[in-house]
Amino acid sequence: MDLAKAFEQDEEILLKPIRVSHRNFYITVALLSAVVAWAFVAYFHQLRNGLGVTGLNRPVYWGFYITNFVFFIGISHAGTLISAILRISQAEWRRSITRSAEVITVMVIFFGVASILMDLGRPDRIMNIIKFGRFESPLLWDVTSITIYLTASTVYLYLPLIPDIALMRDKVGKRKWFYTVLALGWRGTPRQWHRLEKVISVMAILVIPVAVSVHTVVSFVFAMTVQPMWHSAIFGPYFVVGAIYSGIAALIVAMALIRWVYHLENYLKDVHFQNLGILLFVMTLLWTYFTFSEYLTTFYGAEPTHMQVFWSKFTGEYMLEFWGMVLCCLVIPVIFLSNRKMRTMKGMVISSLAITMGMWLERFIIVVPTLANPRLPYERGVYHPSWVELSLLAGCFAFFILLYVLFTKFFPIVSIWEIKEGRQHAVSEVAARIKTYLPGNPPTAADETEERDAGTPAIPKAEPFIGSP
Amino acid sequence: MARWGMVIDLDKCTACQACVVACQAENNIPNANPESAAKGRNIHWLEMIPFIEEEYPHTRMRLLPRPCMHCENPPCIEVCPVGATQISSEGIVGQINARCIGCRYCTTACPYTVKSFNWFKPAWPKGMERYLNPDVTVRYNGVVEKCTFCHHRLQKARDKARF
Repeated sequence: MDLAKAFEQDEEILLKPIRVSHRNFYITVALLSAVVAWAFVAYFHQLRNGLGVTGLNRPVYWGFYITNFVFFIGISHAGTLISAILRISQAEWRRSITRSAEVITVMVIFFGVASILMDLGRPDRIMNIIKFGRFESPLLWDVTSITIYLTASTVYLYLPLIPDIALMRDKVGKRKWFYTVLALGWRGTPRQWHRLEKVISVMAILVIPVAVSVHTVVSFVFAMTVQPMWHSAIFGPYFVVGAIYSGIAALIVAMALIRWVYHLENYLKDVHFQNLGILLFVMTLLWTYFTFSEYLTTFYGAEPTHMQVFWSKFTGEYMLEFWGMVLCCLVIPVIFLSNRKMRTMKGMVISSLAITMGMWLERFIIVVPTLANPRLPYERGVYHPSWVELSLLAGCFAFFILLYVLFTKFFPIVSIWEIKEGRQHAVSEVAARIKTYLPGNPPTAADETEERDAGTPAIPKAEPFIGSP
Repeated sequence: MARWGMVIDLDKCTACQACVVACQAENNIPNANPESAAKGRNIHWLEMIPFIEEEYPHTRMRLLPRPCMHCENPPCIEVCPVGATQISSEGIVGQINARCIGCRYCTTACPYTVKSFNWFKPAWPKGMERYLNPDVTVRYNGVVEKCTFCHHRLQKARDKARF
C-alpha cells in the first residue's frame, strides 16, 4: 500500500532528529549555554548591587528590559495565533508549520515574563502582586492576560503533541518512561481521536481572543499614562499588528533554520514559505499604515511636548534607531517581498531577520524617547545601556534558541499525525468542500453527511494512525 | 475633609536652595554627588529647576522649587500594581517602601517626574549616619521613594496639639 510506505517515510524522516544527534548539535548547545551562563552572571551582579548597574536613570526609568518584554511578547504571537487561524480556516498548508509556530509562542513568553522580573527593583517581592494586586493598574491586566495566554498556549501546544508522543513511546525506544507519562495513555481509539479533535478546535477558538488581548494590554501599560506619544488610542491595535508582524518574521527564520539543519525540504516546502511571505508582506503594509497614522496625527496636532519626542526620533538623538526601524521594517521587506522575483528563500530570510531587528528597534523607539523627553520641558534624559543589559539581551536570545533546539530533540518539530492525516483524508475532504462552493445540484442526503464530516476538520474514521497499517 | 497644601512665593524666592538642603537633611536623602548627577541618579524630593523664559535677547533665567504636587487625582496611584503608593484622607500622596516591588511604573506615569528610585543601597559619607533623622525611615535598594509632605512633622504637631 502506497500510503503505508509514505507513513513509514514520514516517521523515519521526522523522528530522525530525535533518534540521532550530530556533533554540531552538541557544539550549538555548548555555545548557547555559555552565553546563557554569562547572562546569569550578569543578572546576579545586578541582583547583588541593584539596578544601578544598568544604564537606567531619571527620567529614563525603563529601557532595554521593558523593550525586550514588549518584543518577546510580540514574537509570541507567531505561533498560537497563526496556527489557530490556519486551523479554523482549514488552510491545508498549515499541517507542517503549526508545531514549529506553537513552540515559539510557549518558549518566548517565558522570556517576556523574565524581562519583567529582571526589570523589578525588588524581584523578591513579586508575590506582592498576588497579595496586594490592584486591578486598576494596567500591570495587573498584563499579569492576568499573560498568565492565561501562557497556560492556553501551552495546552494548545501539548494537545496536538499527544498522538506524536504516543508514537515516540511506541517506536523511538529512547526515554520510554518520559513519553509514556506524557502520552496520557493515548491508544488512538476513534473515541480518543474524536475528543482530541474537539478539544483542539475549542482551544483554537479560545486562544485567538486571548492572544489579541495580550498585546493590547501590553500597549495599555503605555497608553494609559499621560506621557507624550504614549497616550494614543491606536496603541492597542498598533501593538497587535506589530506583534503578529514580528511573530511571522521569527517563524520564517525558525522554519528556514529547521529545514536547513534537519533537511526537511520535503515537509517545509517552498510553498509554505511563499504563503507565509505573502502574509508577511500584508503585515508589512498594515504595520506601515499604523505607523504612518500614529506619526501623522502627532505631527499635525503639533503639541509642543509631543513634538519634542517626535523630533528626537526623526532628527534627534534617536534618529539612528528610528530610521533603522524604517529601513528594517519597511524598505527591506518591501524590496524583497513585494514581487515574485525577489521573494526567494534567501530574500524572505533576509527580510525576516531585518523585520525581527526592526521590530525590536520599534519597541525601543516607543519606550525610550518618550521617557527621555517627559512632559515638563526642563528634564531631559539620556540612555545608554550597560554591559549588564546587553548581556541579558544576548542571554534571552540564546536561552530561547537553546530551548527551541532542545525541543526539536525531544519532540518532532513537524506534526507527524497531521501530515499523515493530510495524506489520508485531506485531499478527498477538500474536494468535497470545493464541490459545495460550486453552483449545481442540491446535495443529496449521502453528500450531506460527507460534507459535514469535511466541515469538522478530519475526524479519522477509517483507521487510527498509531501503530498503523 | 481639609487638604494640605504648600504655597511657595516665587516672587520672593532667591534660589538659595536652602529648602532643598533642608529637605535632604530632614528626610535622610543620600547626598547628591557629581558622578551620580552625571548619570541622572540623584534623589531629590524637592528640586530647584532652572528654566529660561522668553526669547533672546530678552531672556530671563527663572528658578522653580518643585516638590511633589500631591495631585488631587494622582496618576502614580492608579498605575501601581500593588497599592504601594496611596493618598491619605488629607490629600497627602505617600509611598509604602516596604511594599514597593520597584517596577517604576509610577515614576514613568508621573507627569512631573518627581518620584525617585533607589538604584543602589543608599550611602552617606563616613560619620554622617549619626546625624540621620530618627523620625524618617532610611529607604533601601530597589524601591521608589517620594516627598511625604513631611508627614512625620504633621504627626508630631498633631500629638502636641492633643496634649
